[in-house]
Amino acid sequence: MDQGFNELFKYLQIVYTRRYLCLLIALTVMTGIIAYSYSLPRKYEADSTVFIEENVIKNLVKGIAVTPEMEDRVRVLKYALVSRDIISKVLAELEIDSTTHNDSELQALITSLQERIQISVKERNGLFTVSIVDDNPRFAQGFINRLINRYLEENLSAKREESYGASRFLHEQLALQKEKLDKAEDTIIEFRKSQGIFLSRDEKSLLEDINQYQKEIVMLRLSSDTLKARRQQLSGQLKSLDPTVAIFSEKQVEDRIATLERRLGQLLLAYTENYPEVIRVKAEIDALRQGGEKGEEGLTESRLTAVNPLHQEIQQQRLTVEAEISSLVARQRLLKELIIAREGELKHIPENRKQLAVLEQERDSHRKLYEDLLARLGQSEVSKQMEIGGKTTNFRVVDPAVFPTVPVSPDMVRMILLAIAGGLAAGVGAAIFRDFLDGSVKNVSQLQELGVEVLAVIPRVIIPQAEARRRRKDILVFSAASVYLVGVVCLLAFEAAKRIA
Amino acid sequence: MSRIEQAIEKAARLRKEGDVVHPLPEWSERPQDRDQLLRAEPIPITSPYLVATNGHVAAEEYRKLKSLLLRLNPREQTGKTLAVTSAVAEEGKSITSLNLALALAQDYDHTVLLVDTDLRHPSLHRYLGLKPEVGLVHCLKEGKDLGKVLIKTGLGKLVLLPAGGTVDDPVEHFASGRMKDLIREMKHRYPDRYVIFDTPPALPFADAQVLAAALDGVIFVVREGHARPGQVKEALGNLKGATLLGTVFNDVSSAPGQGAYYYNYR
Repeated sequence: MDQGFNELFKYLQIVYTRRYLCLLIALTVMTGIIAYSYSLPRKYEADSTVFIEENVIKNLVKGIAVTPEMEDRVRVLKYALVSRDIISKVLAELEIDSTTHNDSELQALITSLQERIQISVKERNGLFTVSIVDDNPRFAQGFINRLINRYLEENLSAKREESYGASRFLHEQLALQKEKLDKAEDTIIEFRKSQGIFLSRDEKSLLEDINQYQKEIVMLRLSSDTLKARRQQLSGQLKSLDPTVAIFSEKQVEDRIATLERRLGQLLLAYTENYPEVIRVKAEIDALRQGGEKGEEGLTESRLTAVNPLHQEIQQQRLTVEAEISSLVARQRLLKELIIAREGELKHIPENRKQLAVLEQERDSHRKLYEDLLARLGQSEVSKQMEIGGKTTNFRVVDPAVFPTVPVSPDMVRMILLAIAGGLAAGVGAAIFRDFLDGSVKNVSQLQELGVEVLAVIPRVIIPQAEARRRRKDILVFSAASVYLVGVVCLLAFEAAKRIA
Repeated sequence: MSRIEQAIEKAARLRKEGDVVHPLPEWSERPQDRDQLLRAEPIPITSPYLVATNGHVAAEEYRKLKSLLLRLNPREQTGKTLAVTSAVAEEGKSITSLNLALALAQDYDHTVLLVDTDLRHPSLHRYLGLKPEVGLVHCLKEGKDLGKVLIKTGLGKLVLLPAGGTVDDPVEHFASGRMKDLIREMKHRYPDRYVIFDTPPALPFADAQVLAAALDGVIFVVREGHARPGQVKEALGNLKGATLLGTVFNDVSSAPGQGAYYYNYR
């Protein structure tokens, strides 16, 4: 701390010692900078503030209508404003282009303008400022105002066209997509038709069918086996039975004849002798009588036989069983055929499904696109209506460029401040540098370094008259310097006031 | 340097010749004359630089310097001839010589003879407000009696031998036998006498070098912010052969309140 203070004090002392040099250099540098600043060509800046107005409707139609974001607008704005097209149009409007002698001069002018156009954006506020610096204040003002107007005009019409264009495009695309979608649907239908029933079934149901058929076959076999056993039993039973049974014994012949005669009598009541039944009955009676006689002669006993009804019935049952068996066999055969058919179908199913899936996917994508386009078309329609109604964002010129009376460059306030600071720094620097150059003995230690003994250190003798003279001179010089400095400060104040005004 | 060397050679040659050409003059002064010499009305001191007799802060430093010299030159010894010189001009040799002489002259034990040997630019008489018509030059050139040219100052026991004028070739005069005799005379006349020679700067001229070789000691004055260390070193190198008693650092800017003022005593 002490060291630093000593250093500072040392430098202050150096500056004080060489105060005239310091003052001279300071004032010279100050004057030089100020004179140089005033000799610089004046540059004027014209600026215009534009407000990007966002309508309340934007929030209402959020997601329904397409409205450009503020960021997008600003980004586009920056490029659009400095585009060659707009600048050359503005130059033509201002009739500046005719003052240039050839294309390269015009080109150079446009490039220079492009470089000088500054756009600063306060994004949140939706305000942006466009400015330009030029030697000619009138040109700067006119150029900025025309540029903004030109941009706004072009921008609005372009925006409207954009909306209409979008709607038109969507309509075209929609028709195209619809066509594609229909075609895909037709293809699927065709395919389904060609593949027929297979496509209505899936693998699971087919397997279930096969299982079902196999179960039925088993059941049929069981039934068939049961029936076969029954047939065997019936066959055995049939063997044990006589196909015929005796209707009567000898003693019964007479009863039989009597019966037959009774019958004959009854028949004769109704029919003639030639009636077959009558003939048969007569024949039977005859036969019975002859039989009785023969029996008497040969056989001891004679019997009359008839078809055995039991035998007959069992036989009938057996036939029924056999018919059932053959029916079962036929059914089994049919089921087996069905199983083979199902298994065949099962083999073809994956390939067909794949094909169908591809077709369906194609159709789905077409459908999705179509639906999206339909939704967009809806948004676009709203946007279009908004454009027509002028309800989207709007540019509004808040502050048109005014005629700049105070030049921005050289910034005299800054230059004068710089002159003051630079002058002081140069003055102090010169004093310190002069001291640095002065290599004379300044302290005792330097003498001691030379290896000589210092017998006495005699302090400076101050002579009152000389001191008074010096004081008078100091006062004179510093007063003059102060007056000069006050003049500089007044100039600074004047420049500052001019700028504020 | 070659100029200085030539001058020294010439001086040595002249000295040899001088032994023959200039016989020692009769010294008319007697002890009783000395008292008469010292009895005089003090001349008024007008120069503000002659601070050794007033209460100025610098006076204390001169007194310290005097004490140191007294210690270095005890009374018994005869080595009491001192040259005061510096590297370059305007370092305050004359002021230092005068103040030192005044400080010494205030002592009751010493008489002090201050000799202005700056024959190029004599100035001692001006500080004392005197206009002497004769001086050392006349003793050297015309063989004038030393006793006739001494000036009584009345300031303590200080007697001044003014230069009396300027010469073009001081070195030759200083190297002469006449000068040698004068120095011897000044040195041996009174045992309690201090003789202080104010000389030209040592770097540009050989005067101091020639004189210092013939004297008992040299006091080298360095003024703050004047000579560079290299110059001081070179000047000290030129004084080889003489006895350097030490340096006096002159005109030192001190505390900030006092400022850094120059004084011009030409």
